Amino acid sequence: MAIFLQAATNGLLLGGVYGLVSAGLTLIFGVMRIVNFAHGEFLMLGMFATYWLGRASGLHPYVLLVPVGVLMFGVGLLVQRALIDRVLGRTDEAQILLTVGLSAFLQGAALFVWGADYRTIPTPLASASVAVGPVYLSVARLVAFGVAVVLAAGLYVLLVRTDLGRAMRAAAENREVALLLGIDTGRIYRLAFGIGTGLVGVAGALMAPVLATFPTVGTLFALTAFVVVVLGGMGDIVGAMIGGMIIGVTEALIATYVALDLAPLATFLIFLLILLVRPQGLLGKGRV
Amino acid sequence: MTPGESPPLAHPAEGLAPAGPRASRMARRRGLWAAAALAALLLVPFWLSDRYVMHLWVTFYLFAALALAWDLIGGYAGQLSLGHAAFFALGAYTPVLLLQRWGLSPIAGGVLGAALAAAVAVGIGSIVFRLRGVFFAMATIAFAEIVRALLLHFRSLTQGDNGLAIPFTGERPLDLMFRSEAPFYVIALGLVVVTLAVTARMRRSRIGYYLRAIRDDQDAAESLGVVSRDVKLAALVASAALTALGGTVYAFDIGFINPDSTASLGLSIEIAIMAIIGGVGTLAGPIVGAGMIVALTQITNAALGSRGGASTALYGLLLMVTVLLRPAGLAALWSRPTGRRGERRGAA
Amino acid sequence: MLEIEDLHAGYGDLDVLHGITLRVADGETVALLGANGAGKTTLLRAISRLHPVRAGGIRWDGRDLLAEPPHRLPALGIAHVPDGRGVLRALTVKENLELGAYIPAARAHRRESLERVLALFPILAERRRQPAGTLSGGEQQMLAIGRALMLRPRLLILDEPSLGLAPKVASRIFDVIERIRGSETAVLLVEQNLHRALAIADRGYVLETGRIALAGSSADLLRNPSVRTAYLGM
Repeated sequence: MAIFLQAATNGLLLGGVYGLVSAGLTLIFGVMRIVNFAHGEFLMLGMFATYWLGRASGLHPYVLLVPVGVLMFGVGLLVQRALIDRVLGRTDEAQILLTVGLSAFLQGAALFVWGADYRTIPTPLASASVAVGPVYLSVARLVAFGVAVVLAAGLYVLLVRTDLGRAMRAAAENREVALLLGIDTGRIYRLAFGIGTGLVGVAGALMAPVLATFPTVGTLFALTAFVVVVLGGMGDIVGAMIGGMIIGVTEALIATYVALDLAPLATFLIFLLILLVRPQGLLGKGRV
Repeated sequence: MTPGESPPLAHPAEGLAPAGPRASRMARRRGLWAAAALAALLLVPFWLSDRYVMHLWVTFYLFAALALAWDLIGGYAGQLSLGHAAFFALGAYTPVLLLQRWGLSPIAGGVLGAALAAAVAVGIGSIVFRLRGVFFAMATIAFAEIVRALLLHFRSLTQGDNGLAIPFTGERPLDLMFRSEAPFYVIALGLVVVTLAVTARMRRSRIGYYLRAIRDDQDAAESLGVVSRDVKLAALVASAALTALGGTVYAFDIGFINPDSTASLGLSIEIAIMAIIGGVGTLAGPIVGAGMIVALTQITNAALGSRGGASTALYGLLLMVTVLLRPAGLAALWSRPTGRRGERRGAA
Repeated sequence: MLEIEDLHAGYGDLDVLHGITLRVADGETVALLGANGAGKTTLLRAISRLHPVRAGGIRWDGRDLLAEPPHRLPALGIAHVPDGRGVLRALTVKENLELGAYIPAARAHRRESLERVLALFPILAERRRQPAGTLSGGEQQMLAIGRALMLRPRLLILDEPSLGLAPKVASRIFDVIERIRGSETAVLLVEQNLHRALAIADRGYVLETGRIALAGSSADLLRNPSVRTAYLGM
C-alpha cells in the first residue's frame, strides 16, 4: 500500500508539471487553433536558461523562475510575430510543419551549441525530501507541483475574470466578432502564445533541479502534453491540469507495477483511445 | 504546396495518361532519358572505389526511396504522417530477427517485413483516417512511439536499446552479406526505381485520380461516391510496404539496428521533410529533397565537425523556409504548372 | 456621418458591389433593402473593414475609414451586429454584454450601460449567467443588439436582425430598434422585410445586384411601385 501511495503521489506531483506544460499548449490551441510542436523545445530552453543564468548569477533556480518566465514570454512573442503569424490563415498541415521545423531547428541548434551532455543543477534541494505520512515527497517536486498549480490557477483567473481573458476567449471563439468588438486579435494571439511559452519555460525552470538538462529533454514532455491536452479538452485549462495529473499518476503506477519502460506506451495507448472514442476530451465541455 | 493544400491542376486530365501523338512522343523521350540516366547510374560502381562515397550514394538512394514512399500518403493523399519510422523499423527488425532466429533469408524476410508493415498499415489506417488535421498527425506520432516503446521493451527479442548486430560472416549474396558496398548501391538504386515506378503508376491510375479529388475537397469527392477511406488506405499500404523495404536495405547495409536509429520521431520527421522541401506530389521532388538533405548533412559535418545537431537545425530551418516561402518545394522551381498540354508558362 | 463613395468590392476578380454611393447622417435611421445576393452583407462587411475594398471610399466623420483596421471601429463609435448575430456562445450573457464595452473609452460607463441594456431587455437580466449559446434565437438577437448598445455607438449597423425569428419576436426587435431611432445613434439597417424596415427608417436604399437601384425617403419608397420589382428582382 505504501508503494502504491508513493508511486501515486510522485506521479501526481509530476502530473502537476505536465499540467502546467499542457496548460500553455492548450491556451495556444484554444485561442489560435495552433498546435505548437515546438512546445517541448521551449521547455528545454527554459531549462537551459535556468542552467546558464544560474551559473552566471549563482542564484537558485527558484529565484530564477520569474526572469526565465519573462524571458520565455518574450521568446514566445518573438516567435509568434516572426513565424506563427504567417501561417495563421493556412492549412493545419502548414501550421504543423512550421512548428515541426521550428522544433527540429531548436533541438539541433541546442545540440550543436551546448552539446549532448546531461547537465544538472546542483542544489541542496535536489535530494531533499520530506516525510508526509507513509510517503516521502521530494521537496523539489513538491515545489514544482505547487508553483504549477498556482500558475495554472492564475491563468484560469485571468481568462475568467479579467477583460483581457474575456477578450482572449472571444477571439478564440470567433475572430471576426472579436474584431467588431474592438479586440485587437493580432495582439491577443501574440499574448496567448507568449503566455503559453512563458508558462512552459517556467515549467522547465521548475524541472531543472529535478531532471537533467539536455537538448532533447523537451520531446517526451511535449508528447505527453499532446496527450494531456487531448485528454483534458483542447482549450480547457482546468482539463489540462486534471489531465496532467491523471497521466502522471497513470504513468507512475504503470512504471511501478507493470514495467518502467511501458509507462510511455500506456500514455500513447490512452491517447489513441481518446482520439477515437471521445476526441473532445474526457473533461472538455468546450469550457475555457 | 505542403500536404493538405492542393496543387494547381491546370488541366483536368493532368496526370492521367495523355493521348495524342505529341504527348506520346514526349513520353517516349522522357522514357529514353530515364533509361539513359539509369544506365549511367548503374555504371557508377564500376569506376567508383571509395567506399565512403559509395555509401553516400546508398544513403541518398535510400532516403529518396523513403521520401517517395512517404509522398504516396503525405503528398498525394495529403495526410501528414509523422510516424513513418514505425514502418521503417518493422522492415528493419523483421528480416533481422527472422534471420537470426530461424535462418530465414533476408530477401524472404524483407518481403515478410513489408507484408507486416502493410498489415499494420491496414490496422492503423482504419483508425487514424477518421481523424483530421492535427489529430491525425498526433496519432501517427503516437503510433510510432508505441512501436518504439515495444521494441525497447521486449528486450529478450530485440535486445532493446542495445540493438541487434548482423556480424559479417563471409560473402553470402542470398543473405545480403557483401564485402563491398557496390551490391547495396544496386539494391538501393533498384528500390528507388521500384518506388518511382509504383508512384508513377499510381498517379495515372484511378486511385491517383481519386486521391487528387480527395485532396481538393474530400467532402465533395465522397458525395460523388469516392470511398476516401479505402483510397487513402491503398496509398498508406503501398507507402508502408515500400518504407519497410527501405528498412530492410538499411539494416543489412549498416549491419546494426536499434530502436533509436530505426523508429525515432526524428527519422519520421526527416523523411517527411525531404519530401516537402523537394516538393510533394511530384516525381522529382522527394528525390531532390533527399539529395539536398544528404548533401547538406555532409557539408555541415565537414564544415562544423560532427558535433551533431547542425544538420538537424539546418533542415528544420529549411522546412520552415519552405512552408513560409515556397510551399510547393524546390521542384516547383522548374516544373511549372502546365497550361495547355506540353506548354510551360514563364517563371512565376 | 457615414459617407460611401463609388464603392467597388468583391471576391477575387468578381465584383459584388459596383460603385455604391450612400450616406447616413448623424442620428438618421437608414434602411438597406434588396433581395438575397444583392450585396447587402458584403457592403456592411466592407464598412466594418472585414471585407477588402477594391475601389472607392468610405468616410466616417470626414475620416478615411479604409485606413483603419477593423478593431478600431468601436473606438470610432461604430458598432456592427453581424448577420447570424455573432453572439459568443461559450461566454455568458453578462460576459457578452461586458465585451460590448471592451474598448477603454467605453469601460468607464460600462456598469451604467449594463444597467440600461438589462432594463431594455429584461429577459437578458434574467439569463445573465447563462452561456449565450443556450438562449433562443430571439434572445440571442436581443443580446447582440444589447451588446452593441453597450458601446453607446454613434452608428449602429444591423445586418438582418429579424432573420429566422418568429413574427412576434421580430416585432419585439423592431420595437427596440425604433426606440433607438429616437436617440442620437444613427442606424444602418439591412432587412429583408421591406415594410417593417421602411416603417422604422427615415430613408432607404434599394440594392439590386450590387448597385443602388432606388433611393429616397421611406414614404417615397413605400409608394414607389418599382421598389417591389427591384427588390424581388422581377
